[in-house]
Amino acid sequence: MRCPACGASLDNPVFCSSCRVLLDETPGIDHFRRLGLAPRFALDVEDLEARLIAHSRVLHPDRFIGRSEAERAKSLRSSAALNDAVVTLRDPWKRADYLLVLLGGPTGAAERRTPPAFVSEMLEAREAVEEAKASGDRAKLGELRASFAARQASLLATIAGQFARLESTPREDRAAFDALAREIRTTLNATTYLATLLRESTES
Amino acid sequence: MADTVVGIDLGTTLSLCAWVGPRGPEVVRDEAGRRFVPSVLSFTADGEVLIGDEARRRAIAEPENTIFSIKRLMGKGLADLEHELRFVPYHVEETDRKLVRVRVRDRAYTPQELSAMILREVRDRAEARLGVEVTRAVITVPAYFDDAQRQATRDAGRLAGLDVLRIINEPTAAAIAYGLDRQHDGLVVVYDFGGGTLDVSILKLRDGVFQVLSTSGDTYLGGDDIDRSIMDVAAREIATRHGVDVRRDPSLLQALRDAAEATKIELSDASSAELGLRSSDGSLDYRRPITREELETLLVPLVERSLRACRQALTDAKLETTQVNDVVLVGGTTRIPYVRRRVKEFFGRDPHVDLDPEEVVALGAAVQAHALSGDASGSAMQEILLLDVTPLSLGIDTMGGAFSKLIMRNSTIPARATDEFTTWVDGQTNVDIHILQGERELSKDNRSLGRFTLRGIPPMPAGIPRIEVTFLIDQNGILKVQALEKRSGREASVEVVPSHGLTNEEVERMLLESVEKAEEDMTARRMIDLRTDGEVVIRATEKSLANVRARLSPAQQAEVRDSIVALRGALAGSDPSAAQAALDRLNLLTMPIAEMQMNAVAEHVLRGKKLSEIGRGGEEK
Repeated sequence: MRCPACGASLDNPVFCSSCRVLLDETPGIDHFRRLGLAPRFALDVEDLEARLIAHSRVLHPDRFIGRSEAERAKSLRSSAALNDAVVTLRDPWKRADYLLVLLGGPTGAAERRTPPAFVSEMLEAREAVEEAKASGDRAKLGELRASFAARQASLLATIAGQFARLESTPREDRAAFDALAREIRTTLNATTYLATLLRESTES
Repeated sequence: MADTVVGIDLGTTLSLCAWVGPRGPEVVRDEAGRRFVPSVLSFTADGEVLIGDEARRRAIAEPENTIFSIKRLMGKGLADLEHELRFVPYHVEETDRKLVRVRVRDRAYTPQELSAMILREVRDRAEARLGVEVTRAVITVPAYFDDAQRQATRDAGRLAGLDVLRIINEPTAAAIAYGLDRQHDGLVVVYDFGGGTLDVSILKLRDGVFQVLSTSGDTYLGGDDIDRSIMDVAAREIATRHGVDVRRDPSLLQALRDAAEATKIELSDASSAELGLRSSDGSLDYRRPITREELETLLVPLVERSLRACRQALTDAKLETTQVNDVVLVGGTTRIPYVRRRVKEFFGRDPHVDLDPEEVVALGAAVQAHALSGDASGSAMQEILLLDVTPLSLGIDTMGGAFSKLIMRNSTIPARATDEFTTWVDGQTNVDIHILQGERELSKDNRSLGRFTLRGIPPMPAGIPRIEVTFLIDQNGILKVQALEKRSGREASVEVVPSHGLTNEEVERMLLESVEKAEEDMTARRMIDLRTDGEVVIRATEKSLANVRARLSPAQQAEVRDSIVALRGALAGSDPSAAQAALDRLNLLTMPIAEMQMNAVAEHVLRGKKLSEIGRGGEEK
């Protein structure tokens, strides 16, 4: 990207450090591009934090005190959008949810299913939790919780793998792309379900 | 006339101002060499307003016309002030807009106006001393101050004729004063033990950027409590030895308070001091030596309470004492050697003590003001950047009374969050947006910040409108909420009215409750969510059942109907686990039905709505 005013190469899509001017927001710019990142699931959180600080330094409204109303409003909008982007990308679940839709995959509203056999697996798990709770079997409950947590971790690892495949699938191969995208969404739905079950299986 | 920028520490008990002069940051003194303007106002019978030391001297003689601790009232409604009002002799009332006002001598003043008088006094002194105009300032507030309290402080500045460049957190100002931002990255604890309040804040410092990680404290713990402990000892002894009840005599009481404070201060340097009280007619002459050890015995419970706040702040930030790199002391009470010792032991490191703990906040504010004013262009100071966080989560009330959080607590500001909602009733043309603050799962347990109505949505079936709600918090923590119906383009917005606020104590209580009641809340919240989800699935299933009836055996149809009945029963109950199981069973049964239909149809059937419904509002009346 280049600055429309001076033509310098931009390291930040909304600020030109050579002519020190706030640029208009690129319409529809995504969270990744806002931070100068490629839209990929794999992400270095330390690097993300460093980018947040580097961008905040130039965009923060404190840097625009005494400037025009329009510039200050732009800076507020851009800083808020920057923080919003970082909140989304920092968390693996939010990042996966966001990236999937960004790449053209289904939203959680459009695809509510979970992977095959997951619902039956959860119905059994739920029964086991109820049983352990009813009989006051704390050891068993702890075991169940540990197994849910492990399942949760393995689902997140699965999602990382699925994204790696999705990112290398050519977009022209629509069928393969759609199938994979759906698979990611159903896996994400499963993690949401597990998170709730995990919360519900804590001892009272 | 030239002008300059200043930093102002607008305190609960004392206010002061600093600037960056040719010799660097320094506190502004008046001609008599006084640094502080006590945050006290006194209204005389002939309409004069005394501010500062003169006002404080009248506190006992004219309690109802002398106003102190006005900071505690900033940005509050009467309902928030139950605790505070027990301690103030002056008269507080509420306007119809739920703002408090103080009534003195037949005139009512808002806390902003009163604070503005203090700020103006501070400003006048600075102008007289510096010989330049003071029009721009950075004003400090406690880190836990919410939206409304910050807005009120900003308004007070404006009323005092100041362009408020920025409202900054007191602990951040203290860290800036020490130049910690230029030294190294790390974690800084600011232990602020002042006259009336205790605040503990944990800051993260990285590449010159400050982030507040957590705050904790006690809004009713301060140096005044120490004075009171000393006074109690003396009052008891005077009663037994001399048979005089000091508490019945305002002038004796004031004299004893001054004596206690003086003794406390003396004991910071000396190992013993004399506590004395004489009545003007000489009938009472009380004297007793008091040692530092005795004072320390009195201090134990107070200091313990302050360390509990430290522990809480660390827990909130998920940190251990060993991870802390710097400890900064703020507030006059931290001059006491015992307090310093205990803080040092607690954190296992020597606190910073080079700067005067009562000046450090104003000095930091001055440094920041200087940096923001552009006077510091090109210097290292310009590189400081403060990233504050919002102390509590913010969101709106959704269907069934569930609190839907848009911005989570401790989010860096400026912050923006957008979520989409829809309607629950066919033909709904109005939607009430109720803005709340807090950590609990149900709307009713959180704190209402305001509400507004999005009107004129064209009538559409339930679930079709797409209402985008956007929260935007600016760098000063001030919230703006906007609602937009995307199909019709109707929109409405509100800037949150500064009528409510929270004390540090309340924030702590709300957080504590959210932990204590987590399970109870979660159950209630889960039931609300399940009812909403369940209703969507039932509606969809019933529709699709009609479409594919021909291809289902009567037994299959009956099975589906039975599970709908079972789900309805479970949703009416209060066991989320049973409701989830019933919902899962229905979902399992409808899977083949869904597959039976073509993809597009299946999509329609199971489309459901992730969007939470905003139930309230209803038809236009």
